Amino acid sequence: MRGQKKASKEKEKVEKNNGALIDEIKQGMKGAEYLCDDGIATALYLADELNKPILAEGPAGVGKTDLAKAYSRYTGLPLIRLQCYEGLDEAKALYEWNYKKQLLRIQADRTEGTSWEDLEDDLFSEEFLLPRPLLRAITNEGRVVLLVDEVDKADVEFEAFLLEVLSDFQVSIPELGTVDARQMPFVVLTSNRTRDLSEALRRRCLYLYIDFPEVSRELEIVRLRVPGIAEDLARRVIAVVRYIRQMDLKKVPSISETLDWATAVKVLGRDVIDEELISSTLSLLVKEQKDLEKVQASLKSLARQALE
Amino acid sequence: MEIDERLLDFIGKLRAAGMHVSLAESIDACEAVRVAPLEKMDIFRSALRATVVKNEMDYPIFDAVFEDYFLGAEALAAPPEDEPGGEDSEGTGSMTPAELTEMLRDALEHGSMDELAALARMAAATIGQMEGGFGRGSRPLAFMAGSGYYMFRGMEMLKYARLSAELQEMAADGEIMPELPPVLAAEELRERIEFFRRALEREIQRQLALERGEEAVSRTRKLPVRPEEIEFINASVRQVDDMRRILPSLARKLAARIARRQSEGRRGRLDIRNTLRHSISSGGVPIDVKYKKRVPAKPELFILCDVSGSVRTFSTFTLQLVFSLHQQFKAVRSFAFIDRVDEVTELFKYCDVDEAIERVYREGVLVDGDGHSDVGRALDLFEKEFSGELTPRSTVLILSDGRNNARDPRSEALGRIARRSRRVYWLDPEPAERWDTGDSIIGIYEEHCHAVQEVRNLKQLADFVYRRA
Repeated sequence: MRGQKKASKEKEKVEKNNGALIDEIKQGMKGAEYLCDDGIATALYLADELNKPILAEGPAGVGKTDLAKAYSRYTGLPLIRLQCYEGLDEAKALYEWNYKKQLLRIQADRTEGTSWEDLEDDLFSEEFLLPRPLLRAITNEGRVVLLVDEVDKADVEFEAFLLEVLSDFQVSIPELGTVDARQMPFVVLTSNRTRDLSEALRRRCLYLYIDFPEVSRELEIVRLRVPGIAEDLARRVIAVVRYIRQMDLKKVPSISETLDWATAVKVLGRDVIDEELISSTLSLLVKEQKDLEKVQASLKSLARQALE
Repeated sequence: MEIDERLLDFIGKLRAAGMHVSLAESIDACEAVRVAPLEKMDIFRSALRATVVKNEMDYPIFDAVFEDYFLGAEALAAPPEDEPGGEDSEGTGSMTPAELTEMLRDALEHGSMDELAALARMAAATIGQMEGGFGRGSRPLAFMAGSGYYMFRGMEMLKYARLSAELQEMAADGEIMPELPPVLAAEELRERIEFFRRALEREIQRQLALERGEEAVSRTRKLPVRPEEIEFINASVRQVDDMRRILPSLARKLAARIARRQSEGRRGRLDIRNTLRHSISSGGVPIDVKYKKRVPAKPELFILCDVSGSVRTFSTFTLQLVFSLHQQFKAVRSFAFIDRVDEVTELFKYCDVDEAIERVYREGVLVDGDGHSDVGRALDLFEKEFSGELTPRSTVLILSDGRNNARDPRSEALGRIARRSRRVYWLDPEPAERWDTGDSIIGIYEEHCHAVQEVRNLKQLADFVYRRA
């Protein structure tokens, strides 16, 4: 059945002009308010075709997490998110027995005098299982988009465990047996590279490095995400942001910060970006105190960028 | 050739260039090109890149090999269609360099990318005429000039450095592309300048391939090196820029690794209070056992760095890396020397490392003699002036190539420093096989150090810091 479906899908693809498939993804993602370049669209397409996870790396705030969210909006698949942090373990990522509830169950049972065997069967049933994101992604009825955010924050042991789940998409729960995925989830992992991920994990994934976009794409992003902003104003906003990015700062403004600032400028209803406006809204763009001081010092040249 | 075979051949080239491509990844690549549309070169490239390259640092290597393998071959098989016919190209070939430069200026200012590409072809033809063709002549293969040589000649002929500097200045003043804000104009211009440079390089490589054959060209081609593997002592200006670019992320990664190691492994004593508090939620049964955290001892760091010409890059990067990790240390004090030594800790508080070293140079407090480094004298002076402040918790790092220009080593001073401090490490940016050759006397100092470490590139530097921090 599945094979047949696949064959017909294949045929359909041959009939279609191949390049159009990538364009379709681009269009669809644009509808979900995310602008892809060729690289991103190709990676999404391949991830879907080859059933492989995408590993997205890049500076903070370029839209790695947003990629998964937008893909979920585009395809209509539900999004399940697993946020990684130091100390994250199987119990928080996969499943956990609700032992407090189990204790209650035992205590409630004392008076009734059920046999231990019955009680044990009862205690380790689905009722007392707390499914966490990974298990939910696997057992969900339909296909889902699984976002494993900031994998680099998790410990090395967890990464190894993740690897196991991602390669088989099955989980064994000793008391219940093996759980197989009903549908392969579409997996996106993101990393800010605070540490290098293992070779093995990289091998299993399609790799995608997302960098700050070039001028034209950033302009398009601003116009897409800040509806109603005048073309001219958008360009000035970007000029200022890109000027700041060239400065030697601890943390340069990311795309999300650009969008915040563009929205603020628009909401304030100004059509000229002058020194005073930049100065009063700068904290939206630059978050470090030292950086702020540095940028404040060169407000004049910043404002000049926006005027011409 | 079958596409699979060609792919495997291509992957072989990537491996030869130093990339790790596993079997699983080559299978993925084959599958990817089967489902991905091949008509568009960009998509084909993205598809291969996503399956085969798993580290952003490898992108430059991949791109170079890819262009070489797929675009080079394609260009050979079918020269660009819009190339003017035989007579035309001879006509353009007779253009003088000055005329070319003028046309190039116009094209960079407001021409299209196609015009730039066409100009690159003309420029390559002119270079060919000047140099008497791209053939290898009577020279043996090993001594043959590579594309780098022709690029150099071409850039010189077009006065490209001056031209692009002039244009960039104009762009910053808003004189070029007036419809754009100056930053955007400057950025656009930078892209064009780089585009032309790449186009010219490609064209030269194509000509070389035509006249000498593919094989000969790929032998003379230099592939890009990962920034973390560039050697400090002979890095070009461009490479130093690359290294500077990756340093912050390297430092961040290193700090995270060190922090992780400290939080792992070293578990403190049982924290009874905390354990009991958590046991309340499980009816008094201590299911979660809590431990106290152990606070790692932080060393006090004394960095003594040679800032004379040959090892300056190395010292700068090491200082920068150590400063970005300053929270790992109780205190960091830095001293710079050439043939005199002076403390520069304060200076670094106010300006960045590059600037500070520049100032140290200008103010000339480090040089008495001829400007060659004198390690022995510097050690001696350091010992006299500062060793009173060394304690059994101090770690001394010496950054130098140990080339003493045939002067007195005075290693007994280092011996006294070592006795007063906890550890003395010597980091040498030269490859270990060159130690103790010529005027390098690292061996004499070695007996007073806890370790002498070869640190040729950022990778080795990060490894050293990780192991010892």
